[in-house]
Amino acid sequence: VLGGLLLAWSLLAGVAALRAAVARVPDQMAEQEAEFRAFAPYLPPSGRVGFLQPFDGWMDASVRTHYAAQYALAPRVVPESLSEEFLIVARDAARPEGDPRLAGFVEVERFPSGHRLFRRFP
Amino acid sequence: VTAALFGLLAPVAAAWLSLAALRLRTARDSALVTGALSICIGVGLSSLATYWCVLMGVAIGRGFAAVDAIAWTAIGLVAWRALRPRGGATTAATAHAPGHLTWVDWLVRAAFVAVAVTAAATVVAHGMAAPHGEWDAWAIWNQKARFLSRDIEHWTAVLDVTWSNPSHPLLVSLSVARLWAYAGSETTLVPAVLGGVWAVGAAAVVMGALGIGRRRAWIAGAVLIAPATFTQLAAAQTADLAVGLFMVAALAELRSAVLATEEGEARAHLLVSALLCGLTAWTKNEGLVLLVIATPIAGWVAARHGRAGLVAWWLAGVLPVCMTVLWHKTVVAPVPPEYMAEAAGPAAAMARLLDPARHALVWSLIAPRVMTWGGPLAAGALPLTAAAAALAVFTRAGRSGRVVLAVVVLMFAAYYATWLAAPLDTPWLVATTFDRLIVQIWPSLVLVAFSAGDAPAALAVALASPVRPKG
Repeated sequence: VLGGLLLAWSLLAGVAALRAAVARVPDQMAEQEAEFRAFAPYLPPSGRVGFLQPFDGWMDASVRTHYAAQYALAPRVVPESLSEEFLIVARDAARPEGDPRLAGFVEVERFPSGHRLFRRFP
Repeated sequence: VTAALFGLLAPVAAAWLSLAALRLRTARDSALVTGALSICIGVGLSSLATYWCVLMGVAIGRGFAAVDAIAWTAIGLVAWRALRPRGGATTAATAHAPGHLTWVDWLVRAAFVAVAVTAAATVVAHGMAAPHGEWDAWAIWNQKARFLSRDIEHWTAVLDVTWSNPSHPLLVSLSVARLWAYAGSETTLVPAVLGGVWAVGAAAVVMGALGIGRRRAWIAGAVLIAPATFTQLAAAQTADLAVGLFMVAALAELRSAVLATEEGEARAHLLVSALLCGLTAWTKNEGLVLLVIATPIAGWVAARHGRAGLVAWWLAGVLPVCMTVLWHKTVVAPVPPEYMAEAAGPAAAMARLLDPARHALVWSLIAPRVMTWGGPLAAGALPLTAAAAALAVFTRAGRSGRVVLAVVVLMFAAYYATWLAAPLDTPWLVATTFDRLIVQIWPSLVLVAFSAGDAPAALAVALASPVRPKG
């Protein structure tokens, strides 16, 4: 009897897990990393590439965007930094009215995703 | 993908044949457990070989895959040739052939199949929704695999990616990079299939160790794979379920060493258990804790058999892997664990461990999670299974699970101590680690919980008295 109860519980729990899995929202990482893969031809094959901190601070979505950039561009390291030659400015990361942190950089490319690549003036 | 499948199966088959050729598994052992052990050892040793190639500057590409395939095929052939004169006693099919099955047996097996199909569908559904896995997959494990796979000269740059947990060892990431080399691309199918392999392996160990001919093994298998957390982590492409598999395999072998009636049998089980403990430490830092806990138990097993020399077999299994772990942690990646990186020293950690307010905080955080772990409709599965395990070890047949339960309890105590001592935001730490840490010990807990019951007569005899050395 106990075995039967355990099996019935297992089946119910399994079906509940399946329902939750089927109903989950699709993850966006495939799209996000594809957006940053487009940067690769413009960057050296290794080394460090800066990433601009969002002007309104880090939130879950912007952290995820940063991690997606790192995931896509490995083996380059993508730290939050303004000290590198190249700088990734994610969509909505810079102040719309003009960001003083971008002084000294020139825009290299604006991608269809809205992300931009900057390079330090020689 | 077919090539990647070959890359996965070649070392597993070589491990299976080698275990039999070296007489580390005999016809008396469960074929299901032997298969799971072969997965652990095959994947584990192939990742170690890949690591040493990486350290020697060998790119993990097509050329590497070709040489790797030849090497594992050769090892398998050598083991197979060594087996042939003995009649190839590689499986335990005859020893564990089921007797007459009643309609109840068939019903139980059918119910298990229904749960297994549901669990497989759940894993596939998660995989389709998140082909790159969960957060830790692309932030840590698969990202490390990309560094290893894409640029052999600069792969250590991943240590500068602070959120990639650089202190953790590389079994999972190396396995992914190795199979990508076989596949010729960074297909997400590779880490996805590996996640499924960890889950199937864990179920095989639990069911095989309990005796596949018995109903309780099928019920235990269903209970193991039903919780949503288990299937979610099977699809997550992370390392926690891998730890769960290696841990339960190591502990099942340690349990067999305790039950062994002959010194040779105990020696074989201790050696395999030691190797698996080492490979757990090569998977995640938690494996080092397992190693520290299991080693004195191995010493106790040796004392029980009255042969101190058995300890040497344990060390022989542990040391080769541990030397690699040590090298990685001291030379290649000398960074402290992320959860202790900002610790203010042992005194501060001890103060946090002894602070009653922190105990109250951690208990308040984990108590509701203990009750709800497992997901929808699985609430209570964890405390009920833990209670069943605690009761089981006081039964005659369930005594065999005492060593396993002791390790599980001490592992949980280590997790608890980390939650207490880590200088991080405790609610965040518990929220982001509890479910997956429990999955690490869940297969072992289920194994103990179902250890009670209809133990075979030989097992009961073995438990009744201490072992005497032969001669």
